[in-house]
Amino acid sequence: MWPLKTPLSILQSNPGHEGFSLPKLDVPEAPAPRGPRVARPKLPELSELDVVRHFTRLSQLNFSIDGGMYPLGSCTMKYNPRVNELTSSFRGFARLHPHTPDKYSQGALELMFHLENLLSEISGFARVSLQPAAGAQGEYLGIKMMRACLEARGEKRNKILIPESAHGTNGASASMCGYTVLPVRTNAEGLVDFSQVEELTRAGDVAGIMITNPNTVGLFETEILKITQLVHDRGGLIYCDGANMNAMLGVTRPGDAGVDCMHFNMHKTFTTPHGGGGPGCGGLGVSKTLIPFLPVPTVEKNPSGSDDFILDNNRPQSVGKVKDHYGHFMMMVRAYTYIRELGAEGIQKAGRDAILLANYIRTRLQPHYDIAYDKICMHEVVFSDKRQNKNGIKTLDIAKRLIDEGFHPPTIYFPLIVQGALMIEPTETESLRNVEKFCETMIKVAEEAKEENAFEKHFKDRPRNVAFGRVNETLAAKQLKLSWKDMELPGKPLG
Amino acid sequence: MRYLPLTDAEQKKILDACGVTNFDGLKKAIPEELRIKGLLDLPPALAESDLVDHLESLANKNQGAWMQSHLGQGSYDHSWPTVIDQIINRGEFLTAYTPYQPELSQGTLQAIFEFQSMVAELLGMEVANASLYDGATSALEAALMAARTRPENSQVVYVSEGIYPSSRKVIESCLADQGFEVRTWKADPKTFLSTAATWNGPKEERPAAFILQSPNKWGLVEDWNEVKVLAERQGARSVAYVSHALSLGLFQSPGDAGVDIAVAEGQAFGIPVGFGGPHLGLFACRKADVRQMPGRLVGLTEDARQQQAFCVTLSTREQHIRREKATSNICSNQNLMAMRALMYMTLMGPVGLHRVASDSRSKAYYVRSALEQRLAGTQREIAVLQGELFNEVSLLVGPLETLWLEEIQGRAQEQGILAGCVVPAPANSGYVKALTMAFTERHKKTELDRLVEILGA
Amino acid sequence: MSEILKDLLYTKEHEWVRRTTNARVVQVGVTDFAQSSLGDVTYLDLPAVGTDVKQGQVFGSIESVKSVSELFAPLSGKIVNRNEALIEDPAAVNTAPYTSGWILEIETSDEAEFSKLLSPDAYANVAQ
Repeated sequence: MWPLKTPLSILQSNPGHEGFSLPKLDVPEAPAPRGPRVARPKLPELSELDVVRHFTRLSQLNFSIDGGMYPLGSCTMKYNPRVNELTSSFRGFARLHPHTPDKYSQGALELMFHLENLLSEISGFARVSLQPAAGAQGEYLGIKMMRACLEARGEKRNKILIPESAHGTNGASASMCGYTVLPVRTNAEGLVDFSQVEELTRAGDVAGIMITNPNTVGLFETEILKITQLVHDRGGLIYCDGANMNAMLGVTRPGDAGVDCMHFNMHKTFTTPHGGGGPGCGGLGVSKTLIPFLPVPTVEKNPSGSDDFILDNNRPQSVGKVKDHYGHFMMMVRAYTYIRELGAEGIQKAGRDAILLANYIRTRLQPHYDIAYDKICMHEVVFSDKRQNKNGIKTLDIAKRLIDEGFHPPTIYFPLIVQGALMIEPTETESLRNVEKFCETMIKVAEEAKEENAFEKHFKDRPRNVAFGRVNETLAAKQLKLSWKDMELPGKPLG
Repeated sequence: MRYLPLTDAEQKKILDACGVTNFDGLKKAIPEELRIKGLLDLPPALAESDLVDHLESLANKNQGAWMQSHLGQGSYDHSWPTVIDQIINRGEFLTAYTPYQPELSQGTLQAIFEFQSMVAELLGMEVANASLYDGATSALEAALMAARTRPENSQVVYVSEGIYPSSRKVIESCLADQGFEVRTWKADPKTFLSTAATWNGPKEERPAAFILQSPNKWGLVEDWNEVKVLAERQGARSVAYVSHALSLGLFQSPGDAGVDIAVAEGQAFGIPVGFGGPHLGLFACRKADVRQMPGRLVGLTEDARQQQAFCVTLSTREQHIRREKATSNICSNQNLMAMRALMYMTLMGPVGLHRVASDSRSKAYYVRSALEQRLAGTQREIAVLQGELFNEVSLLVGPLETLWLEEIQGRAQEQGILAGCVVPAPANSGYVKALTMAFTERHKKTELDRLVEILGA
Repeated sequence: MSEILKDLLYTKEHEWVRRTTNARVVQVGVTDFAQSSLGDVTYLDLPAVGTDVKQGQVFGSIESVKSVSELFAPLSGKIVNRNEALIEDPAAVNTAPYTSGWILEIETSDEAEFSKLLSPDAYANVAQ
């Protein structure tokens, strides 16, 4: 019975009910619009209480960080500090229009300027753009700027190297910029195969490489300096996927390793909320080489020497705009609040604790699960289901089993280079006690997987203990009902 | 530190378990020269009260948020029911992950399904996605989708002259990377509208898409039928870019006019202007095109116990499966904003949406009438733009009056008023600039009268 | 252990070829190994009857919930028949990949190309 479900809102509609409170019109009514008569849209009519109940019940069907741990590798599901929600709700931020003249938006410009500087210091880049809406847009912007830089040098290079272990957005972003992707192998150590990078760049026609560091199997690319040096020598540039920035906080800086640009996932490393799938908040750190190509406008101190900030649209080599206005400003406020709360000491502790907890999980689970690469990891660790396969249990079975134990499953089946990958990232906001409980649960599941008839006894028909059983994704794809218009809904016809 | 619970003792315990004596032992994979020595050069940690004070002082420097603002151009300072802020801050919505494990995410998934349904209904289309970043990138994605579905057409996209300059910039910057050219579909210099008749491209041209924005940057309502007819004639796909979501419901939806793809900026649905972001991109099309749609989609299904359930579907279009062959690189949707918009639409209902739209429009008409009266008989090159309005009014000035326009905005600012945004007028219209002023249900008659007073001087 | 039929020929992209009573026409589908790796097939993207195809080139794709794979023409020729029932409901690809789950029929143009196909034993090495 619990948690209570709620039918689609359209089925709860009561003509005449309303959930709004608007002032009386104090000017004459405008003449009716010319043009074809418009039928009233078929939307639900509900009172405020009914709407509140509807969404409250929906919320209770969700797992969330506030409710439990998400050991999702590559997602950095750390706690979303509530003070961020307070500061971003201030009228001075929330009701500030993007076209406000600079002199009336100094607080916003100052915040952006400082946030860019904080991120530069943390990541070792010369400058930062906050314009991208999300990580994927940050990637796209980075590749776009690299392309502009090479073209400005008179170079026409159409290929780019991407490790086969990379996140799917890397290839998609490169394609959007018109590049052909050349995949690079992972070597036996779990790292990018340097010899293949050497071979593929020999002809001098490669625009560069998109590297993830730490990589998607949770390892630091030890040869990063060699790689950046080589690619630069051969006239290319280096993009770094910053999804795993959490491992680098206070530990190392990608800008110091010769990387030309790296996107930030503020919704990962810097706690802007996931909100059930977005918005993200991107950001791109760039080396000196790429500064001329930054998107417009940039935030600058007033060149006249006065104390204020301005938006600069006068950048002749800029790649233009990838996002309307300045980016996700309201998320920048949250990220800025977080970084200012942590300060230098907190940033260092965050990176350190993230790495410690991931390595703790590594040592506890290694006796029970096949580890992809047997070495010290960074902020996440990758296992495979090889051992469990022997008894017919797969990664998906383990994932659905965990749900019944109160945990969101880890990231599964990514990266593609590890069979049945299970990628685990605890993040530093989890207490050791929570992490221990997670490890104990994983061990229990591994023990169950060893038993005779394991699937029948323990893994079939999972999850069983939550409000919903296994959801039929095949049926969804086959019947393609994407709107309530596609359903035969009971009750009176709408409208 | 409150978000960093690991104690010194616990750190030691972990180091022991890893068989190393100190944290340096875990950094072996990092070359020595890349390891940070000591602390970064960042300001020291702030206690909560100091932190809040600091942010508040920054917020208070943004005087624009307290001024009487008539700035528009795609971001509108409408009011929204307070209860939205309360519900959206529930941790189960705020801190939930992308709904990839459907059994744990039915709240988010059902909400997205309702959102898709309402967006499809308002845009007059068969299917809508779970949202994209904003109106401009949705228009961009629509152009790319149009091109994918017409691979034989030329790599040219026409955008109406009335499109927001910043939207156009985004579309151009990004289409150029894939070898596309963006051309202007000119507006009639008298009516400021783009119609099939005002397009002057070669008869045989078959571009990928025509994009028409309405209301346009001068505040006028365009006719969706024009883009439908023109695109059909030229064998291209038609894209409607609804710049202000609240205009839906007062004016014919793109779907009802027969347009192929409809996109919109949904910020007006309960989302703060927030200095430009995050906003909300709406995207809808016909079922026949669904496999070419970018962005997340949620579909109806059932679970193992035959309960109605929802899940993300058709993921095979998306980057995590198709990788470099994906329909787009987009990974997230604007879910939190989509949820705000959903709550807004659910609370307002069709009656409330109509009321807000209609009241905002009435304010615009009131101001336009008042300005017309003030300008009656003037010899100066100043006029109020005629035509069908939604919530923005344009004051047009000719070349001799551009200085006056600057002065008048300055005077308004001195009185605490941001009069509007300036955009170029169409060539050959006799005017060079337009001051576009936006009105919402928040504005009181007294405020409108003050604005007219200043401008009428 | 996935099923491999002895009277068919195969490609390394996990497709099978069956000769029909018409000397030049072959029936084409995906193997048991393929359907098992894909999971429940949800959609097939196929070209129209009458389309020409070339050996080794992509002619369409096959989708499941979690993945999409390209389909490669095992032989050159013209498509003379499609399994229209599959387009409606592709479940047969999973339940009967070698019989009712057949995908296309091709009128081949070059007999010599058959030598490039794999025997059942050779395919068994590919599909483990």
